[in-house]
Amino acid sequence: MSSKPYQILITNDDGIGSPGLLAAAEALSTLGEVTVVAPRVQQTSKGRSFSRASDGIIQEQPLTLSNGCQIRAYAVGATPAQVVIHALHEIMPVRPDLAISGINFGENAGNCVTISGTMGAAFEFASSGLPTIAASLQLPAETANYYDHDQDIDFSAAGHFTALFGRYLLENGLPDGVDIFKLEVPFSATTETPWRVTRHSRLRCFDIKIDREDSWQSRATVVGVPMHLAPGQAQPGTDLSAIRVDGVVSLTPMNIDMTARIDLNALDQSMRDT
Amino acid sequence: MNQKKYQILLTNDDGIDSPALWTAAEALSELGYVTVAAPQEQQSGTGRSFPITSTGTIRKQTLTVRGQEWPVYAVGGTPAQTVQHSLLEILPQKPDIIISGINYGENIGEIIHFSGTVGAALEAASADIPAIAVSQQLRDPDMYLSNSPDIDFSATAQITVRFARMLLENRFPASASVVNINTPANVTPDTPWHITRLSLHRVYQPVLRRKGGWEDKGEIGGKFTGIDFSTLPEDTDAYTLYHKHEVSVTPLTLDLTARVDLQELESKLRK
Repeated sequence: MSSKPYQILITNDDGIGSPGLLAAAEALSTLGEVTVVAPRVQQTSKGRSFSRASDGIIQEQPLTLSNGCQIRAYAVGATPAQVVIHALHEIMPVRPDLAISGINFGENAGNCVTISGTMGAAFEFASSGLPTIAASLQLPAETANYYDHDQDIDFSAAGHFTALFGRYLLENGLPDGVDIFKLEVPFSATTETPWRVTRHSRLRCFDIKIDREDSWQSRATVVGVPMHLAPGQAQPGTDLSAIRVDGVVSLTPMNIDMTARIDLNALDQSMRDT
Repeated sequence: MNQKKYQILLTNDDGIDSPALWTAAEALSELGYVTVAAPQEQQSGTGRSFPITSTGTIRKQTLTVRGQEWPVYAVGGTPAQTVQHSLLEILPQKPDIIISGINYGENIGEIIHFSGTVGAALEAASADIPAIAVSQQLRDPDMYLSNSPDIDFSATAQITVRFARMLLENRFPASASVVNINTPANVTPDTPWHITRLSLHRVYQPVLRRKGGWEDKGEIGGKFTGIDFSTLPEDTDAYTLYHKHEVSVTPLTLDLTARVDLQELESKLRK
């Protein structure tokens, strides 16, 4: 064993009070020294946004693990991506060896990942060159509650898989060409559930509807409802089909480079041929 | 001329009062019917976010641009939310294309993750609608929240029309249906353009400003750090814009899978 423990930084988008965050801290504390820096309030669906309305205030707010141990934890008035900047520039005394975002209430599969605050923090970690896992637990579609920290949701299997891949990253670093490990754990998963490496689906995983009280002058909320997938709609080999169709754990290696995967020279040529 | 009139949705992240939005609206009307629906307020840096705190109100206004009256819609939401309000509540039919911009200030490299301009275009693409995000570099980068009427966006607007037409004529592959265009500060309609890829070189470093302790307000800003062009690949957006001072056209994807052999990775992980 090395003399210095690994430094592990954990954040999320559900806020400092989330049981999913605590589950990640529990699981990762077996691998090293954990520091939690998380948004003070709910930041779901904030993507990698930088809000000018954030106050950036940092409060120390230690968390207690089930074994009674206390870990350093800080609540920040900011979006997940901003929290990451505050954590790296103001709070962490050293550069972390591993950064975790999650465990999120609800899946982040398909193209909604650019809306996800969980992913937003992971993008921010990755652009600082840190090995990072964005971890999410699927919620059952009928009762899904993404905002209220439902205490009855069991994050222990998701914690197990977060630690499993966290250990890999601590020992091996990120594979060449990979910026983020995106982990999706199905709701029914146990620690025995198989896992597989998947592609990121281009499908959207939420149907959008608008809840409006009255006329256009009244308040309205844009809500995402887990999309019903027709048989065959989620392509085999994707994150979406792993958790929704096969009920297995999905690990997607991601890039922060959003350039289309096409032959750019060929496109350039074809567009000049008028 | 018997050309098809396209349905075009125009939005932005600088808000409904942006003069650059108007310049784009005017130019795009050459292609078809332009509906303008934009955030009521400045939404720079909001990416593709959907904050639950947005009001979602829609206000119909009339704006006069060079004598022509336009019905426009101001939405209490982020650019991505504005796109959804437009698709579900404002537009009578699905648009043929969504244009987001013209933004005050470039959106290149990883900046696109938190750009509201690009966020709206990603939302369009996720609804299977071709989209262009378009931004113009500013001579003074600090003007990015200014909505200044003194900056000329007309050349960028012409370039936008040219690429919108190409997108509408299906000259981009389906897997690259979001196009991110950046024009240099000195752009003219004849400035050469290049198909580019995103630069992952961080050109803006985050800077923290805090007066006092952690209990006091702390702000995150960005500082342009300059670029070593000798290490920057020539086919990137950053090189094209900052070094060649030419127009960068980057096809984007919603599929962020790493470009690695997945089976090989899986067996590595199982060891």
